[in-house]
Amino acid sequence: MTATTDQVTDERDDTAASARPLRWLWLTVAVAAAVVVTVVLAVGFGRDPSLVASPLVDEPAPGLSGATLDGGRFDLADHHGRVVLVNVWASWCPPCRDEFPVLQAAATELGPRGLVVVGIDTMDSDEAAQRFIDEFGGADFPSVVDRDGSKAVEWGVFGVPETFLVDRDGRIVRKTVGTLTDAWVTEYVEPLLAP
Amino acid sequence: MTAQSHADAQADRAATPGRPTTAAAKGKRRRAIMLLLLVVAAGVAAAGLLRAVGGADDAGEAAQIEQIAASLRCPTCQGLSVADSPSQLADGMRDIITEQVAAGRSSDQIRGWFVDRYGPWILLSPPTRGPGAVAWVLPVAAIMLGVVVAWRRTRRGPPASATVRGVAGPRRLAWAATSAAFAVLLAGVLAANVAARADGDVLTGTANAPRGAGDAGPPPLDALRRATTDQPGDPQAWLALAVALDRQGDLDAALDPYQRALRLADDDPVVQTAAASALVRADRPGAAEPVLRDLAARFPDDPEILLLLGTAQRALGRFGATATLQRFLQVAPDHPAAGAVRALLDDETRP
Repeated sequence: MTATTDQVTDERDDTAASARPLRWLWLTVAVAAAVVVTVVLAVGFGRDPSLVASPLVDEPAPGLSGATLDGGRFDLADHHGRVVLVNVWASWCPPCRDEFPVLQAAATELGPRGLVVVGIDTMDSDEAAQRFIDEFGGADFPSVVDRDGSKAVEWGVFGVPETFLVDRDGRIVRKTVGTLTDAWVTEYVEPLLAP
Repeated sequence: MTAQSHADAQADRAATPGRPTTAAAKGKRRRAIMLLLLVVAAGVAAAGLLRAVGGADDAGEAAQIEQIAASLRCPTCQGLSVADSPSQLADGMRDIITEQVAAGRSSDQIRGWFVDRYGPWILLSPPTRGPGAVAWVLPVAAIMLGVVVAWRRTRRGPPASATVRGVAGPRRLAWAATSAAFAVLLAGVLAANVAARADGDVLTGTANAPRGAGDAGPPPLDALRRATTDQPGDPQAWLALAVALDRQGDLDAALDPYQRALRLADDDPVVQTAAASALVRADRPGAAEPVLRDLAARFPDDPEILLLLGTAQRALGRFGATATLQRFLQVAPDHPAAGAVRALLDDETRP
């Protein structure tokens, strides 16, 4: 009996000795993998999944043409050579209400310096949109009607409001998500305009 | 339990040369079971991968549209495909897919059209090139590694496996401890991130974009309703419900909670202004006017109150309307509505 016990013990020691470096390798790999996964998840969970960089920035702007809320027509192609501020809005969107005065001011004050402001009224009803505009005593810029949201999709819109700045060459130079502010207009729009 | 009997037990497990036939038969059976498991696992893995890569041919236009919609992420909802999303933007995307399919464009061309506008983010499956490829390679690598490990284990003779099992005690413990530590770490990271955000933000993810951007989700109307039934005497609860309904565009439904809030707090200027504004917008200037007159008496220089009062008075054909609106222009000549009011008054004074 004693002999058997010794034999087993020896065998075990041998196997353990040969497996030791391999075991350390496995453990190192496992720990490294765990660290990588933890870092990826820690960074990923801390990020806002709704903020995705638009691939349209620094690219030619998609086309935009169609009937406007005031009964006219708008075609972005007609404004080539001018700086255009394209704002996607809807009457059911509270931040759009907050930023509407900023757009009105941009249209009236920067219009003479060559700025074109145009809205895309998306996924809205004509009546609600009209009520919204009436609240502000009328709009100082046209808004292209986009009942089914397909124009918004063409512009890669995630939600409303979103605002695109198109330069004189027809390229989108900047995009902002959320309420448009005076500061943004001052910082990015004004420098593109004639003094 | 003596050292002697312990050694006996181990010697038994080590399949002593005394019982070779049983050990061999046991080993054979185990190897067969492992092989069967391996084949099944490999089959399931291969089927899963094939289905994920989805090389299925398009059977008709409708199926192609459905397939493309199912492979695109809805921009306004979290984790839903365009095919599954009820949002209006997803409707627009389905229209575009339908149009492009009818125009004879291929599925990849159509997906490319969306990628040009939204980036690779719009695709529900990660890209097969670049960093996204890790998501494709990792499962395949893990399956292959598993196959190798399982294969090596089945090929090992019974004595060796018995020996390994003898050593495995502390090793298994180390693995268990490592896994447990990792799980705790992950749970901690998750909990810290969830706790760092306000309620609802985890699901709607609106860190920079203000609330309400996009149709990320309706405000918790149920919670607000519950608050009004729990505390029917609290004007703030009614006001919160009214404002939420109002913001959703449901002005009709908002009127009742507005008026309840007003009855409960008929001297609170915030409640009064909100309710009066709703009444004016709902074409009920008669109900709004007394509230606004009370407010205007207390806050004679507030442009919003003057504008609302002027609008209500005009709608009712009251004599004081013009004076109120003129006072509004005097107080706030740069108000966003000032232009319209001026135009209105000009029209009136013109013969």
